[in-house]
Amino acid sequence: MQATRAIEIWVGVFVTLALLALFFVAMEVSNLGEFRSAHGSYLVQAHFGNIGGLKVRAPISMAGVTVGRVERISFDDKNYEAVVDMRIDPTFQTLPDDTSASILTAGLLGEQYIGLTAGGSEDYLKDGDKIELTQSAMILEQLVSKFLFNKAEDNKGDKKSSDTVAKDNGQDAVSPSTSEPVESKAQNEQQNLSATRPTVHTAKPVRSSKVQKAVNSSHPAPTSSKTKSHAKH
Amino acid sequence: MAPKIDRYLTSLVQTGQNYFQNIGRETLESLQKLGRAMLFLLHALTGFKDILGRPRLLVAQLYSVGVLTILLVSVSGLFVGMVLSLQGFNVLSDFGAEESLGVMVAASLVRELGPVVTALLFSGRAGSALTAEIGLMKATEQLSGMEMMAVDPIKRIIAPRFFAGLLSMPLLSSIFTAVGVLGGYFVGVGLLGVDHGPFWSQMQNQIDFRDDVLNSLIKSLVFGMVVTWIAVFEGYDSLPTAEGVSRATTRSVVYSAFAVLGSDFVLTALMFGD
Repeated sequence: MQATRAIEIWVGVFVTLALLALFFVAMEVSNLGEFRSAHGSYLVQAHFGNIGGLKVRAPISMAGVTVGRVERISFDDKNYEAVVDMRIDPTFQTLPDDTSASILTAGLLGEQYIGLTAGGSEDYLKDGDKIELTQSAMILEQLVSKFLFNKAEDNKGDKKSSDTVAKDNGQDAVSPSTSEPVESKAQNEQQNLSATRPTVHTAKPVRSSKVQKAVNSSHPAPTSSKTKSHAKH
Repeated sequence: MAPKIDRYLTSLVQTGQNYFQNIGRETLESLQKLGRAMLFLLHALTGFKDILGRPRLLVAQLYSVGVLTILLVSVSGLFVGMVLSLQGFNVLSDFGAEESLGVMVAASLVRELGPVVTALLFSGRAGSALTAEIGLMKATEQLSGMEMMAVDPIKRIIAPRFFAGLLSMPLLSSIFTAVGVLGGYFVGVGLLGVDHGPFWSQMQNQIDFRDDVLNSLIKSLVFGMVVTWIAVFEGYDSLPTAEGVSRATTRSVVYSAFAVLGSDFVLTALMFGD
């Protein structure tokens, strides 16, 4: 009888140990610990023209701090946009309702996340709200082709200053001699922008200025070199 | 000249017939064995309710199958985690990504090494013992003796061992993974100087509970079933001689290794290959 008692004790120790190990793996190794604070969180929706490689459960960060995760990604078949539902942690209740969202990349080739930039509104985002100001993911091929196209354009417009343009292509050297190519380039970029973002119709000046603001606030750069600053990112 | 060719042809035909006969016999025998194993498994599964009536049988087997394997599994887990950390650090530091060490160690342990290495160790430590024990019971006609007393040996002997193995594997695999992660932590953070903040936080960011930990448990449950099934069946099906038992024990470990690695590929493809 004594022997079975010892065996039963050992089996009890075994099972307890294993459950502790499982608990450790679940809480410390995996992300289960995060779900403890799941209640009180709220959902915010944003429409993007292109989400690139964004995945469900990708982090949502504001000023570099993770404030939530992507809950669901779906497709809006009326406007042909990606609809991203974001779950914001309950700690962050005071995000302004004109917050803008852009899809950014961690590192050079890292995974993509949503970066939020606070606006100046007095009202806060609530559950079920929609973020109006969005900026799509950067698609590497589009950036490269845009860059090459611009470079070719610059070379054609001003053969003489091609060296300087190639050297610091971040700045748009708006000199009288190159004013026309820059103008056409700006139109071109506008087209490209609206191609990547179907919601932004040039016919709606309010929307496009909003977008411009979003672009500027997320990438502080002079307005003239707006799209060039994209190319640098 | 002609009779010689004739004889030659006849012998050629005969060799060919023997050759195909061998293939056929092998196929039929392995199919028969598979069928026996299947019936055996079903029979053992029906012993579940008998175990519920006498849980002490299961506890005794949990001790010999599970508890006695803890030391082996945790020491192996510790060293596997430490080696993973050491090797991972060497590779990751080339890319300046030492912070991802935690992810690397935890992902390999949770997704693959935890269940697979535990299953291999388990088949060597517990599976072989089960085969030898049951094989010897058969060789010494203890199983026949039970049948004579109208006791079903599959329900009385096999079923507790089968369910003990089935239950032990996920538990042992969790221990292996947890100890391995701790071993990786000691080497990575303690010896190599990786910062412990990103070590844990990146790990928690990347390892999902449902996708990784739960799938790891499912994997280990499947491996536990496969390994224990092979072990008890090989013992039960062994030739009742000393040599037969030794062969059966060898087969048990070898087949278990094949089955574990093969089913691991299939399970991984199903679970992680979206």
